[in-house]
Amino acid sequence: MRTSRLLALLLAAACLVPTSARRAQAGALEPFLARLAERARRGGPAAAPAQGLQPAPAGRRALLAWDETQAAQGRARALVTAAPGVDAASLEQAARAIDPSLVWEGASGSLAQVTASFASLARLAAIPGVACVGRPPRAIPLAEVQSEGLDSMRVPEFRATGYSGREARVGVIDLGFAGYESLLGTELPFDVVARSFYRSPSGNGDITGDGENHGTACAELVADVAPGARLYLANVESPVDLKAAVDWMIEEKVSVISHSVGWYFGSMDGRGPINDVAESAAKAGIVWVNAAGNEAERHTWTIAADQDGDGVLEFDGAGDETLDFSIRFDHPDLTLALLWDRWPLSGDLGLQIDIVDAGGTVLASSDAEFAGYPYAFRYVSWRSESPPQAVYARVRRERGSLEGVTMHVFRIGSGTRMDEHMRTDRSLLVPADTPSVIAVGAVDWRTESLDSYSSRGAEDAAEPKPEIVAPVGVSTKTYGRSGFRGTSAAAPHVSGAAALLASSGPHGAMNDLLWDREEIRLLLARAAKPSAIVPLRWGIVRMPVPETLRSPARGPVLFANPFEREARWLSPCDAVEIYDVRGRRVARAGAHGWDGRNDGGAPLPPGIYWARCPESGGVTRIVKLGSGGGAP
Amino acid sequence: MRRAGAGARIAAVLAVACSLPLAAASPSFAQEHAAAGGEAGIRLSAAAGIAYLHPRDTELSSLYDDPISFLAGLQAAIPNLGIRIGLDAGYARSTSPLDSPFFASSVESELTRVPIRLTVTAPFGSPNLPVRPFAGAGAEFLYHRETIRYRLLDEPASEKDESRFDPGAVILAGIESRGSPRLRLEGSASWVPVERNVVRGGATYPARLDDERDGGTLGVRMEILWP
Repeated sequence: MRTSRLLALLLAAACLVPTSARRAQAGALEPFLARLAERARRGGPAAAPAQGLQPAPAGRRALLAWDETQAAQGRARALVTAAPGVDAASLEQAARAIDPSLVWEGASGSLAQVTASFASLARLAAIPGVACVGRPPRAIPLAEVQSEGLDSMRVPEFRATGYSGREARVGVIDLGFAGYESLLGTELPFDVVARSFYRSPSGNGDITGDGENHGTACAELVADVAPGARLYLANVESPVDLKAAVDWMIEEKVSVISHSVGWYFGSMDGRGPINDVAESAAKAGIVWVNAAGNEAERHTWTIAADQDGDGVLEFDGAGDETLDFSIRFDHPDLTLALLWDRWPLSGDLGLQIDIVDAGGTVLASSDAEFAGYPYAFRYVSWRSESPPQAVYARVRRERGSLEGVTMHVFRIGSGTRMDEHMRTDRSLLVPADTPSVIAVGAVDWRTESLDSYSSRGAEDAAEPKPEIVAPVGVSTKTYGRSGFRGTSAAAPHVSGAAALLASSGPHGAMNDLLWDREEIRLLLARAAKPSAIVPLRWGIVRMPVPETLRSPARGPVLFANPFEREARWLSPCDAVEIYDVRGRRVARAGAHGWDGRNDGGAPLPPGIYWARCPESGGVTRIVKLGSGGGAP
Repeated sequence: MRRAGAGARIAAVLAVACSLPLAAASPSFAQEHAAAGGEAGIRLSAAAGIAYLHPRDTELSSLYDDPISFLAGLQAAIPNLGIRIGLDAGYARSTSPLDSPFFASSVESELTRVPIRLTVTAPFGSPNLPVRPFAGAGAEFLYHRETIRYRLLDEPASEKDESRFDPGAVILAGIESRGSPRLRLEGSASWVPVERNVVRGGATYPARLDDERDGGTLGVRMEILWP
């Protein structure tokens, strides 16, 4: 352990020690680049080193720059530091001489930047006057933003057990991912996979979705919870786009789809084309997590009836045929959506919705756009020229029988609410109403009280929806401090939790097992904190964490796992006991790390071990000793 | 799994398997056969035996025990060419506990390995020796089946299987007694590229690895051939 630390210190000092003696010596080559150079020297394929030597695992902040495109061609971008008293620009000729394909990108004082083949890196470092060759440092934004909801979910405790979502693939399907590239390596993992189906079912659309950044904020939250998960980003606009995106994600074998999007296109009871798309993902074994919707206060529903036979439907048993609205200065628009449960097509029943004034004059009607439209969906929009103003909405029967029909009216637009006949139940948007989908409601991350706008399912349902609620009002880089509210923020927390759980399956053999869809649902359901804030199937999202981890007694927190040569950790105990997979104690380690040796000082073979902190309730961590074995 | 190049690899392996023994074979086997009044053609033998196959994959080796394999095979001698073509299959199974989170219990994995080898061997050395040395090469198709059993949150035990064939190459050398039945003692080394996978329900894909990996076995076999 001491030897390796000493070597690291010497290497770090290699660029700093300004002795004249060093000028004649070969410059230092950063160990990561040295391994690439060594592989190239052994004759490996040009692009192979990049595959086996990822410089920064997904989700971990990378302080040194790494260009995947160059690496795929067997080349690396490197910063050449000249020895004291040497101008870096003077090294250009010598650098070009050792590698004709070397690209001299520029120099500034004692620093020069080049791209060169892996094979030439060692020779580059050996040029007289070169003090050091390494990856360039990478500028990072100063504020890293993380959701405040992680603590209440017990994410840190769960991740301390060694699971980060690694191997799990999470798809985020949204409207747009504007600005996501600038967050790679910081708020988002380095290597996300993005494909746009926006107005392009063939997958060649605009990933920004005309500048929409809602998906970027959602992806940030997934990465906050499960930084090791591989993210697949896809944006869509229409149902056909959505189907293409989901088919792609099935093909890419994602485990979880996070969809913080709602559609007014379905029966509102789990049936419709969008619901079918979600079901197809479930059949492929994918956990579909969906925002419940923010419509609870902007919604009403009723059993459709026209008791007086005048062609206008009533909204209650007292015969009220209108929804009253007070149009205010700050919201002069009134947009209403009308849906009823005749899907996929409602050829036998047609309804229309009108906005009328106090005198019954029609201000706007869905007739204009929806006469003869076969789907059970209408909308009407109108803007007041002289707010405040009282207006009314009414629903007319155009044709057909109302028998057994349930209808919903939604007021569209954030900051608005239904002024009369508001009904919060059955306000889930599509596809959150799908039985196989996990619908996620919103609770404030500080109080865990339900946000009033959070959509909910039928009160008398045998299996209530939403299944779970999650924190909102959290911070993201995209939306700023505490700026992300709505169930759109809640769903990615649960998606990240599902990814963490997926990756916690039995590992270490020929095949790593990810928990599958039903198992993830079971784990989420069992871990959720029961709550009576609203009819919930499961409760408030929580990660399953052993009792011992919830108490102040903590086990060793591992810094690197798997490890080679030396494992390091933070430990509350004076000594940590190491057990092999058969439960035999094989070593006793110090409070700060283990060198992979047994009590007799002999290196132990690579494999899986447990680090156990006996003083704090026997809390254990899995330690994986890599193929390089323990300390030499 | 890198299945895309499997065909080309198998072809190359078979080419090597056929050319190596043919190039190295001495006429001893054909001479001996002719001296014994044998006829040109094909003579079949059956084989049965045991082997110790040590996985070259160190991680698997530390996780699973390395049990004795049971072998069965057929061998066709072609005296005119001075070679034998062998088809062998082995069978080994071992069980190991597996690391798992606290909410999973009774977690164990079971690995079944069935190496199937198609080899070409040729004897060499003097026909007067009391034992007949031979060497050869061939293709190995390694069938793995890993079964992971567990209980999750004390729910009834579940089981997941993953199995696949990986093609590779094998070289071998050994000695064989004369007469019938014959005792055959053989050492072998095989190279079968193996990737670790991630399994979720019906979806399987390569695990992201920080290290490269290959597989195969180093083995010692003993078998009896009739006639």
